[in-house]
Amino acid sequence: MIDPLAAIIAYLSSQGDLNTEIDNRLASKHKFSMPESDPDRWENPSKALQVRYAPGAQPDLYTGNGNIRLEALCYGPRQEEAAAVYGELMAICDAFQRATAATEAGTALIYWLLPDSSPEFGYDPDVNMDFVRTYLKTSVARTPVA
Amino acid sequence: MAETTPYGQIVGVCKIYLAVASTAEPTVNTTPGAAWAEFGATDGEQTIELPGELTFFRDNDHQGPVKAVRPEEDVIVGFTLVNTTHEHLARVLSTISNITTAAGPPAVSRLPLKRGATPTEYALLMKGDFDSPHGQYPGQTYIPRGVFNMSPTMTRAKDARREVECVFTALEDDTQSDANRMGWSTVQTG
Repeated sequence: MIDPLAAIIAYLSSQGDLNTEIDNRLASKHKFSMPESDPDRWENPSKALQVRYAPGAQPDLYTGNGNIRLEALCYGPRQEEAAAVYGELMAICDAFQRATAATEAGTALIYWLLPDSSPEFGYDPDVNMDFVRTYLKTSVARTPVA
Repeated sequence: MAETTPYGQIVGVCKIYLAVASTAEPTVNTTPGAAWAEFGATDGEQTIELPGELTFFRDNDHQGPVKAVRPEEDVIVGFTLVNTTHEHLARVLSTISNITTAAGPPAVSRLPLKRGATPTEYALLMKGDFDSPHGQYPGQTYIPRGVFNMSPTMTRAKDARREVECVFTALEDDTQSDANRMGWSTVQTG
């Protein structure tokens, strides 16, 4: 079974312009607070994207699709840089068409990836960085297509 | 588990193209050529409506109907035009040849609002890059001949844009085989 969040992270990871912006710092939980000795730790401050489950989606009771809502936190050393990450994320949503993404559970088929709110600036005191928070909605087939 | 297959679910909006009536259908996996004017995704929802009520016949020997026929049917495409350039508007109102221009200054483009007694006939194509239920392949709906059939109200407001609700009704194209005279759907399967 496909994990819809894993499918979205895999899809976003394959988007060149976004990853040029964030240098592949993309996960469901940010890595700014990991020990400095950990090679997976994200440089702080830097631009990054955290995408995780958020409540509020209407489940698809009939087709087995994973209809989920996501919170996207677009991190940046300053508001301007956080907004640049948000801009790349919105460009992906604007251009999105039915797409596939390779996950550990197989190839996922993503039906849509759309913004579900307007952006909000915030500041994360734990990592001393600005962010733009927005919400996305997506629908992903739980059955792998390959 | 649901019986629905993942690729069987077609989502998203298509690009809409217009051409002179009876222009041949482009190959499904190519970009339509210069004969086709691209209207883009047009914005808003797009619809394909197939009205055609049946007439049932009954006799005294049965309680239920014994025969059904479809005396008339339509193929109707609906979409909302948001990009209201004169070139787009002219086509859905009548014909692009109605536009006149002058070099100026100021340079101008003039589009008559009167649509005339005889509507211009077009071929219409709705094309989606991933509209096939057989995989990540393209699909398209082609109507060889039809006319725009609507009385548009182009509302202006401080918090709303001008839009044109377009309704395209197919006409029978006698140059096609009988089953295909009001258009068809083509999808790539491999």
